[in-house]
Amino acid sequence: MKPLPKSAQVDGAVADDVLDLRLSGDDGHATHSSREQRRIESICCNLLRRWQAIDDTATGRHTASEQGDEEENKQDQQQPEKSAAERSTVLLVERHRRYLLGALEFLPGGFKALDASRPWIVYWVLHSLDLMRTPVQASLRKRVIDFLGRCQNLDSGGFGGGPQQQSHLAPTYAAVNALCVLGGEDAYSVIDRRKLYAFLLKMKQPNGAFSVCEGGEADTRGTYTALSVASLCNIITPQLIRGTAAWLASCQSHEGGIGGEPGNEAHGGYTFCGAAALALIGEHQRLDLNRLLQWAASRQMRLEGGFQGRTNKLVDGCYSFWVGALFPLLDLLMQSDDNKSATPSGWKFDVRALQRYLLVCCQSPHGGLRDKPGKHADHYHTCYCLSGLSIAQSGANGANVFGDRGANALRPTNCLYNISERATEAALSYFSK
Amino acid sequence: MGDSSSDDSFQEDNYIPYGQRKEWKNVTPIPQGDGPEPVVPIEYTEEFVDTMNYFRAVVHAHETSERAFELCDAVVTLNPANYVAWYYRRQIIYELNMDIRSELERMRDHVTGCPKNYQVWYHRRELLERLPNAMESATAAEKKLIDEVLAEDPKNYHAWSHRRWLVKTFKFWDGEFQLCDKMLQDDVRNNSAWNFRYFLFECSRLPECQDLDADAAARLAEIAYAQDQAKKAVNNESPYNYMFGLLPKGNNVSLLSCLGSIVPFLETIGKSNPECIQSRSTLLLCHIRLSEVPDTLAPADATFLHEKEYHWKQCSQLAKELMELDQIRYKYWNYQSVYYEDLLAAV
Repeated sequence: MKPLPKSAQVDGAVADDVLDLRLSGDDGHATHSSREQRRIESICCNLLRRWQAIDDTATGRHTASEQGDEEENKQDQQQPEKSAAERSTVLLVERHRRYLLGALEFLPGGFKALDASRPWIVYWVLHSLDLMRTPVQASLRKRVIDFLGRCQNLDSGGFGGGPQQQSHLAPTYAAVNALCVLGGEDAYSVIDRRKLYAFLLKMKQPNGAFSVCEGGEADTRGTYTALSVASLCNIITPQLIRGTAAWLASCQSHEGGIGGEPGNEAHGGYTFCGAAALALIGEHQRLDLNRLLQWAASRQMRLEGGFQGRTNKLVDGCYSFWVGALFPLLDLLMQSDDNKSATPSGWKFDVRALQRYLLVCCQSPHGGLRDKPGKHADHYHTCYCLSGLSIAQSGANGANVFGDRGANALRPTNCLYNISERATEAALSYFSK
Repeated sequence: MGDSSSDDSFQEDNYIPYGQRKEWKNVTPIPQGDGPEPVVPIEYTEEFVDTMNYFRAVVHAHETSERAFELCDAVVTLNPANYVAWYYRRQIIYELNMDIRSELERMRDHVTGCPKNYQVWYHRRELLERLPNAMESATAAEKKLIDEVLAEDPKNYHAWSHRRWLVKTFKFWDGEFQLCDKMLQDDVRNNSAWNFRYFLFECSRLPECQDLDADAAARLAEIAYAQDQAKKAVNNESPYNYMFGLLPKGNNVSLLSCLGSIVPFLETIGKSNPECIQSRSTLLLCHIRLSEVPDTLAPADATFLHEKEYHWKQCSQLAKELMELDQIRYKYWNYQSVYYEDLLAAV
């Protein structure tokens, strides 16, 4: 595709982002993949074109030099380079809050498919609320702590997907994260660390990986969730992680990303899990980090701005975190490698295009965020879209907030655990004693 | 038919609550311990509550019976993601020494109905591992199931993962390369098929150090295949990742043979397709690799192999081209460009 006239793409706010709305060609050889890709590009193109056309007359705003609205003038002065379209782009915080808080109170019958994943819903909701700086009422906090306590299995250790369900690493990860988001002695002390350790040890397989539950699959996901909770709760031992690093490294595929098991296709979710798990145990040098970085960078979609999870698949808002978090993670891991990583301009992907995708294409007017336009919002996507938004904003000292800074700036999320940085600090500090 | 007095609260007209079934009279159901003011409460149907109450009771009592077996089926039908019920069902199968092949057949619909669910696939894996000398026919039946799922969704991650596990575990390689071929003929952009092909290649080749000439020959054949596929749609990322992935890990003559094929190919594609991003990004990776090859390895006829500064220059040049052509990745290509410029400046 012929290059567009290049505008100065430097770090931070720019006057003219490149917004390339040309649909991808198929090289005269259309296949299912290329047709699907064009279909999604078309939909996003319409939304982005409509968005791009927003100007001051449409929003009814007046430029700083005209009317005297002090607040507007102050905002315009703070972000004078932003286009009218960008200034009008807001995160619908109140609607998302209502959507999230609603889930804590009531879930319709269709949610029986998540009956074995209720701690997940708690985490998706609480973490999302935390990113949006939403305080949690004392009474709600108590109920959450009580419920998660009921999901814990004191005989085996670990947490199940609901009360009286056998322990499983996924709800264990979610419950521990949710309790850390809440923070405070009453939340942290729910976790029986000794029993949790016993559970993790039981899940450990001879090949170094972790099974998600007794008689469950052992993959990168299970391994990450195990190491994440072990790291937060400060219960990592040499015995626990023997052989794990080698197994994880063997999951890096020929493409440079990481799959669920050795030989499996490189996939955004599993790549995050594998890279983060290795980072948590300081064994990231076993990976070809340069190849991983190029794989990650290649996942960003030219038109949509969001990330795909695998080569030649479609954009999905949740990869905003799974793939997006790889950039701060790799920056961290590659820091020691001469100065190859020292970039003052923040993460090595187009953070503004990602935010634009999330804010323009992924917000549901009814509250919640979604995979892509045309899909319904759900709590999982709300969590990971917001987490990705936070990551995108956090490069370059948070100077990269797209749109209305006041409305859109989120709390920074930790790229290893995916709870806020402040929740991470507090938890690590508590459990280090 | 159900008791008329309680019919209204049940979804299915012919659903009989467990409490009213003669054979369940001796079991006391266990209600869900959600607590007084639970969060994330789900509005279950009466049938769901009833089934789960009895399931909890059966698990609590460690009952492994025919009726418990049926109950597990009821649970996973209501919620296929209930990993407890899948696990428990297998315990019953093992304890009662039930026929594994019948179970695999019986649970087929769960797979085709919920192909993106983890448990339906893992269930089969565990059971297949337990089949005494897993028969070729059982493996063939599994492949047929996977084929059906892939026909609906050619990139289903679980299906490909299951296939990889199946083929590797039972060494049932017959027809697998042909399957890949077919999937790639259907859609040359199917990255899952490319990944599977890579797996097949890895498993079929000898360890690298054994016979470098044979190793090179095998890799070159696959590289040629990838090049043919790449020509069909030059902006398709998959074959480029595949051919670069085929490079041996070691610095040896096999590496140079492979690069001897790949580098000119990429240069040719790049020349005739001035906007092609894939050929350039892959060529950049090749030059990085070439810059790491020790001088001692350079054979006289390797026209593409030079001292590392030459390759760094190529890297920098390609990165700059990509900053123009592939602007969504501007920051990444800029980082590469700066890195190699810095290396050259330090020389």
